[in-house]
Amino acid sequence: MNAPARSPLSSRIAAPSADVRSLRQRVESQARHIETIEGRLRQTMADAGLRSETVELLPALPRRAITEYQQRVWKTVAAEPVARADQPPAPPQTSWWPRHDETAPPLVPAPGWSCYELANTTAKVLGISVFGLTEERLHEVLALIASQQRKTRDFTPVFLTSSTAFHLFRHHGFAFEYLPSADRRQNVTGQQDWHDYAAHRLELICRKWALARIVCFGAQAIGSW
Amino acid sequence: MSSNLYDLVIVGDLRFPGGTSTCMAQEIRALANASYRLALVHIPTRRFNRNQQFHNHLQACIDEELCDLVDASETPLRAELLVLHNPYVFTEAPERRPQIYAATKILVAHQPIVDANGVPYYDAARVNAVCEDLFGTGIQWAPISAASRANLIAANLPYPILEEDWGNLIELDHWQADRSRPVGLIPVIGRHSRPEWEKWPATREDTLLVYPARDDIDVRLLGVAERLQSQIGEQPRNWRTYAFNELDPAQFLRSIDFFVYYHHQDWIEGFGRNIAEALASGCVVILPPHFQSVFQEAALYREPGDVVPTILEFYRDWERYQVQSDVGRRFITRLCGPDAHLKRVRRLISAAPVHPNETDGFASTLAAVKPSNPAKASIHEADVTVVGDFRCYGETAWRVAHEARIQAAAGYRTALVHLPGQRADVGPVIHPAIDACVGEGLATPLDPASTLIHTRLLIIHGPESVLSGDPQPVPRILADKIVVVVDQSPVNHPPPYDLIRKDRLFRTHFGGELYWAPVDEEIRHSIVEHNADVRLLDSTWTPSLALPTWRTRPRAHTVPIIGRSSLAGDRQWPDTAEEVEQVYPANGELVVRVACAPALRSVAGGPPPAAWQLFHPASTDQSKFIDNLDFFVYYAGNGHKELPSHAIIEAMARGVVTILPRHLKAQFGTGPLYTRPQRAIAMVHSLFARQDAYDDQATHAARQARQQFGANIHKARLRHLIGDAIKEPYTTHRRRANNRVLFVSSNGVGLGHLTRLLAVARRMPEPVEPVFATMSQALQIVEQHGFPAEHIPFHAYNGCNIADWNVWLSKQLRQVIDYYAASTVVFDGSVPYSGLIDAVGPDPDCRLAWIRRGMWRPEQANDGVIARQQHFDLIIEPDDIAATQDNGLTVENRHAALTVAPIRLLDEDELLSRQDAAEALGLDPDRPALLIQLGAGSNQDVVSVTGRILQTAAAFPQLQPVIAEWLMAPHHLDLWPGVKRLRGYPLSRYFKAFDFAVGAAGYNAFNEAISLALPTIFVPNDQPEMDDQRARATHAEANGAALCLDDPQTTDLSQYFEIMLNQDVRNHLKTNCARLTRANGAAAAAGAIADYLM
Repeated sequence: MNAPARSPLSSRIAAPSADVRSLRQRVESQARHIETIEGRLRQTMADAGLRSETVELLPALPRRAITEYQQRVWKTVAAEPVARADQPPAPPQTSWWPRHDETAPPLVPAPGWSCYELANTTAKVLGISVFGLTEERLHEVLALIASQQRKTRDFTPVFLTSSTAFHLFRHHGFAFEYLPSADRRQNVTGQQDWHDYAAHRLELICRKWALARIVCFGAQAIGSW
Repeated sequence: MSSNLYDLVIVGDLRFPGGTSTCMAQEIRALANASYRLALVHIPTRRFNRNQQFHNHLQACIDEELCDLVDASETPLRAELLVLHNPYVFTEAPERRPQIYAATKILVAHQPIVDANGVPYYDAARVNAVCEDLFGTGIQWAPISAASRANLIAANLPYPILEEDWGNLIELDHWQADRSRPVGLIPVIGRHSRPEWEKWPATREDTLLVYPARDDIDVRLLGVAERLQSQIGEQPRNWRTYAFNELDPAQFLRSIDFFVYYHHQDWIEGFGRNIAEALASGCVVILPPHFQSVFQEAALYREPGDVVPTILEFYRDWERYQVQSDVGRRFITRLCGPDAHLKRVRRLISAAPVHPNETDGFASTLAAVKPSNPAKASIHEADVTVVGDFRCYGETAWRVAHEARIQAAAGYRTALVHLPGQRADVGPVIHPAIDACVGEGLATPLDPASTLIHTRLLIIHGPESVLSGDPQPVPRILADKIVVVVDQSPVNHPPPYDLIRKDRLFRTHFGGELYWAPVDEEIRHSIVEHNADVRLLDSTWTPSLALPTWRTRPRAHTVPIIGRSSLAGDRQWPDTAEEVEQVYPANGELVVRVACAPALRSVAGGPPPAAWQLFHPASTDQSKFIDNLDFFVYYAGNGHKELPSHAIIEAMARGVVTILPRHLKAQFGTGPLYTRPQRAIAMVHSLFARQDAYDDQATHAARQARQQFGANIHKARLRHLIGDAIKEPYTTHRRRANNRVLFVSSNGVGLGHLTRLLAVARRMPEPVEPVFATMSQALQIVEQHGFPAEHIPFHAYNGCNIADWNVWLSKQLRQVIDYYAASTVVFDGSVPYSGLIDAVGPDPDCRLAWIRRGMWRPEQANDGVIARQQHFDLIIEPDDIAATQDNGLTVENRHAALTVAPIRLLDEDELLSRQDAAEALGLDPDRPALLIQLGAGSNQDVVSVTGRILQTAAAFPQLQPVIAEWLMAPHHLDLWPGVKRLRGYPLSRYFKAFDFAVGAAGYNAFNEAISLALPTIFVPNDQPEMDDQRARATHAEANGAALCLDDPQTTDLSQYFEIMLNQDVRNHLKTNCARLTRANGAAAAAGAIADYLM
């Protein structure tokens, strides 16, 4: 992995003013406060046996592809077919073949509510691979990472996940990238092998967030999902 | 006995007087500088006197401790690589047996095996046997040049031959010489070599042919012996001769201009180190043609009789001399510089096994070095090679791109060599149309500085810039035929260039027959008039385009779109502002689009009108730009020269009615319509109003374009010039199957964008396969519908810099589009991101549609947002039941959109009956039920409003309240024990279970509630970034179809509940809902996407 170095305080990341720092500290403090109150509320309600009934309904709806659709009969002028190479090579990116390739600095991920003071700082960014984890296990890992982050206050995580339980990441305010698992991508095949595509996606993710390294949780390594 | 370990062991007779020892010494210096551990082993042969000293260059290496001189008969050596120099050394077994163990063993064949008559110089089988006996099996023979390789192959050598040549190393700095001017007032030619007979021409006549006795040429020869002197007899007055080693060769070479080397016809020169030294010194080198396989473009190859005229020609044109000198220096740097040798050694050592095992090591090494066709390994073969500055904006780029496509389709292999020139009117990067050919694999770009190309046809564009000196590299091309395309008269060209001089230069450097090909008759006359000597192609080089199948298309817009594409510059436009306004009006009666490069800054002396829509070729594919026009209208100023011919033809070919001034009829034939500029816009309106007449004209133009400017024109001229393609034509198929649609939704406050896309996607006609890329965190509902989905993290969630985020968005979208091979992208969102436009705009195979709901708030500053509509191929505006209240920006831009009925996810027949819905939700169907769906709460306080609603509901014991929990809600707290919560999608499927609802008035919630007749108390979200929800809610209330809460925090809700619990009231509301309702527009939107874009 060749992640670009995150330059200290680049032009996009200005040092925050005292007011901004103070506000960020306040967000952190409020987040902890809310966390505590919510926990207390949940416990109290559980002790009192108070709970609502939740009905979850996500029916699979079939396609209703339009059958009455009829393309108008157009006047057509035929021509020779257009040539295409079966597997085009990657175009060169060299000084002797200058190509347009817009570049941008890496993005700064959301730091999470409990370490919000790290927002828009140059703290190192770690990829946290959680592919294949159950929702329960994912919950535990997120709590673990949040706890570790609170202790060290020197990193921002970006989770790499195959779970659609995005609310878990949202709860902590953590950044995440989603790649569908094998069972979710059966319907449509791509133009190239999925693993090649996933490798390119991963490479892009690494550059986009300037991941310093990737820490894996669970049995599914990156690229095997 | 322990052995000493080295990286390399170099073995030979260190007393060789000539090239072999010099070569060994150079290799030792290069390797020692690169920190290799080296051992040098001397094996004395009977060829030299026992007392003869080591070659002084090798002795210097030993003295400088660049290597260890080791007696390997005493000290066993172990190494990664063993290099044995010169087969002569191993024609007999040495007296003392060396003990050397190496994984890889190379025997450098400094001498050929047989001479030109097939007489052997040595017994190769014996040499190989001696080497194997001494060092083990698996010796690889390394030729020192292409000629040496050919000699080994011709001798049927039954042993492995190394895949790459073991080129001689030259210490380049040592040979450096100044070639900015000639040595003297007349040409000085010369040579240096050993004095043996085989190194010189066979007869006096042969010798004097190339080293002439004449007063206007100086001849200087180093290495002359008595035999030559006796052959020549009296030495010509213009000769100066020196004995072997009388002068330092480097110093000698600095005293001559031309190195002329001809030898005995029986002799085969393995490499020609003296030639390489002359090239390193910058001499222009003239050789007999058989050397071409070794020195390629570095030298001039002439029969003996042509030597003197060539010398005089180059001496008179010193600029040309310098170009050739530079070509030779560059070549020898590549071939004989230390880098080449170090790479070779690195490869060989890395191929060696980590723990050398004699047998296994040999097997693996041998398997790796079997050459398939070693003689041709380093030359790129092409049918057509195109040379030019590919950053240009004008006609050249389109000509190159279209011709490359035609060549590929016909099976001609195309190479592209980009030579950046000094012109100012070029972009920073390769023109996108040319780059697209490379991206699609239709042409191969090659590095001009390092790749040697053999081509059947070389096409040169912009001759004034080719071979024009630094900083441009000199391309290494050997051509059978050359065509120079001339699109501007050399005389009028700014600056003018000498066509005859270019003609000579191109022929010298690229070889082959050369033809000049004017693109029109005017330029042909100009060339003939000023340059009668050059050879002209019989026919003009007319534009020839690769044109796809075309069909007439429907229109989604109601105001004509006219446009043009051209270069920038005032002369491209009518001369006065009045004339510009006449043809390209900015008064809103039609849409004017201009694709222009460089960016359009000035028209008729002023800035371009703000109402015009401007495009740049780098961000919008030209074919898509033209496709989206109704009329291509081109009028220019007086005295204008460069026409956008390819764009005009492409417009005709794509069925865009083309309107031109009358004087262009001779050039473009009957396809376009011709009229005076004053009449052009009237013609536009007249045809736009009559679709059938428009279609007839478009069809006629499309046919004419194919007849006059189709692919057959270019194919015919290629066949005429170089014959048929050798390769089979490409398999012809579309890169994208045209049945994948990528639906992209932005991240709204609710699920509106995603729901509309789902509604359309599930109605796409077979065999379309929808795929999603969504910024919404409710991605699971896409997968619930069975569609593959990718997630794009939204900038607001992470608080990213938006400009940077757009760049990364573009990159991710390009990956997704390529992987799923999407031919259409359908976006639903309020703001078309620049990253989205950048990802799709330049892609010729992908169209872009925008599903854009209305009801934008008038106070929102959305001018910049709406301006982006020009980048969409199709805009679909789903109607809104409250559309009469719409005062937003989309209303005045509706002429650009196709309007369909309100889009809903479900049709009425998909709703569950009251009984089934109530059962699914666990409700009593005989008691009234209330649905509370206030939205995600992302930007407003829905908790306290929900609390008030539940508090009110508690006063009605029969009422069953159900809270719809938003899939995207930030928290899932159980705040209301005992109340049923519904987590589901789509909620409308269960509407019949409810008697009334309290809900937000977003697009989907509102249109679903009214269309599906669910009596609702609307609570509009009045946040400034939202659409105009209050207008919707009040419209429904005004029409007696719903109620609207002014302020949910203060209004007495119990009154509203009492009203809603009245069956008569609910029936009244339902009746009015039915009056307002519209059919579901989702199917129409799906059909339009298929019809317009696929």
